[in-house]
Amino acid sequence: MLQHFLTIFIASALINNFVFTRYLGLCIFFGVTKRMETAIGMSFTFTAVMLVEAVLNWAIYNYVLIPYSLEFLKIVIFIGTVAAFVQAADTIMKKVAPALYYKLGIYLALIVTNCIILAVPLVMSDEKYNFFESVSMAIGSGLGFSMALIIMASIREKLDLADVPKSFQGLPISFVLTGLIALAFLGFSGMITL
Amino acid sequence: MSNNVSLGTLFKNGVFGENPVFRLALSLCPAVAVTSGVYNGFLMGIAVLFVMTMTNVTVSLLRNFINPKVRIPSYVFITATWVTVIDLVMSAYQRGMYKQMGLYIQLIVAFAIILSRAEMFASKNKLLPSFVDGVGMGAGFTLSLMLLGFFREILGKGSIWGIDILHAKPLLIAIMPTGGFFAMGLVMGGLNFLDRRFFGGTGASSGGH
Amino acid sequence: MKDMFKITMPLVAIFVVAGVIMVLTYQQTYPVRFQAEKTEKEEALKEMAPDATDPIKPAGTWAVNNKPYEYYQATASGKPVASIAETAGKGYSSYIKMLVSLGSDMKIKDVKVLDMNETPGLGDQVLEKGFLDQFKGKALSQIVLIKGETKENIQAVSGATYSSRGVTNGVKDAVQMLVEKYGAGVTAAAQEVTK
Repeated sequence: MLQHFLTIFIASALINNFVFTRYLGLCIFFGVTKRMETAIGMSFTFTAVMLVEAVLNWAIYNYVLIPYSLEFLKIVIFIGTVAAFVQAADTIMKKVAPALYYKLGIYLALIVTNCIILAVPLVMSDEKYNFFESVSMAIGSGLGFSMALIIMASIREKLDLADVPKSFQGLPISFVLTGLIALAFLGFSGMITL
Repeated sequence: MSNNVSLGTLFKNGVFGENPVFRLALSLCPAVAVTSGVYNGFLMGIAVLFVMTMTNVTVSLLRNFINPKVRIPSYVFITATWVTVIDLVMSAYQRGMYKQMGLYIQLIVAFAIILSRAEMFASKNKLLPSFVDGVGMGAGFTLSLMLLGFFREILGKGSIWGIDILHAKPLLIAIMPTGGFFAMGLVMGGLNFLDRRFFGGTGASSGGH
Repeated sequence: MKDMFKITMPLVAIFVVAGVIMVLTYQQTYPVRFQAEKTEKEEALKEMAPDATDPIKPAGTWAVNNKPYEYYQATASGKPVASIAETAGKGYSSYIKMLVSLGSDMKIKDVKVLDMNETPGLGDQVLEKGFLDQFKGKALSQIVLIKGETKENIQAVSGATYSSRGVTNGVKDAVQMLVEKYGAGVTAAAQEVTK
């Protein structure tokens, strides 16, 4: 049983890594990896929000939407909970932990436009995961995304020193780089057959 | 944006000047994910064009009705409604493709481009300009996706729109999952180069989200 | 208080109208989707046994990888013309789900891949006509994957060995099962061969 959760965890962190094999969250991925510090800040905030969101949406999906056969409303409901949660977290953090808010607050605002946060509950509902499966997937995806951010940030710090053709500076070369990392991640895909 | 801009200019602006993918660098995820062929890119583009136009139109119609304090939740909700509609329609009538693209269709709701057009354009403009802006931006998005799909399909499969043309696969990696990143980077860089060389632009698409 | 009302009322109105739009679309598309799902399966089965004139009937279930799969009997005016089995084989990154149809002479009529998630560009080359067509007319003893030239057996697609193996194993299991059920006395062939 434990092995099953571990499989889902590893699969969502490495094999189905959101950035490198599902191509999601690219906007944030390219946006925050210019500096290592922001990448790490984003990783923390993101993994935490992802976990809470997964639990919240899992409960709503299984206890409200399915019993009343309202599955077709899931897009509206999921985006609603994301927006509501981020707004609430923002307000509460400002009051309760101003120091933390000062550090991570800006990432919180960015999270609303991140498609991964929304993709986790969507994938979860498509695969009909149970509670613990959903949690392992959320943590796995969160750590997978963090890993992607940190790898990319450390490469981009070196990239500043490289002599890149003018037309390719900035986003284009970052895309090519991501392609190379993704190619390496392709190697993981044979590790577990889902 | 002033009101006396002609509709044609507005449309052109969406397709070229502020092309959502290559110039504004917004909504990059589907540009990489679903462009393994021209047809996929086309379908995805049409879905975005629909959501974009309908959201723009709705926001423009309701612009005097929505209180500015609650405008962002309202826009998100309007977008989510239209995404649900296109999602339901596509899953009924385009089943084969929907299996591959379903997740990305649903994720249109999180596209920055749609919310930003609603906020920056449709909420300040009349119905017709907002409609044209939506169609223009949507068309720009569709064309970008088809362009990427064209390069990837011709190089990776030797075909266009599913029709075999080259009878060979010159560059298999183009169609592989990672090919999307390379295609995106190279096309973006290429366009920057053309822009600098022939139009004297700065070609800077240095980032954004 | 009045201000509050002024802000929320339009919001509620939007929610209600949007809800109505979504429910209407759902009601319009639901029957279409339901019908499409049903005919999709029927059509896939029909393609597997084009000479069947009667509706294809389920004949039982069997297990691959501990998951239940169905098999069917296709008949033409009461006489059996083919048996069809759903099956799956372990490819590189996914289980490849297939339909296999076997004629009454215990030779394969057709193989069709229903669903898979192999690497695009590499593993999905097994979907191309050439590879799947090799199975047509083969008997159980001939279903052996060969990494090299072959006419007698099944030639693996280079660059997609794992996926080729997945398809071949899935087909072999299905044919074995159908042969045991409908035609006694034929056994499976040796393991895969590298030439």
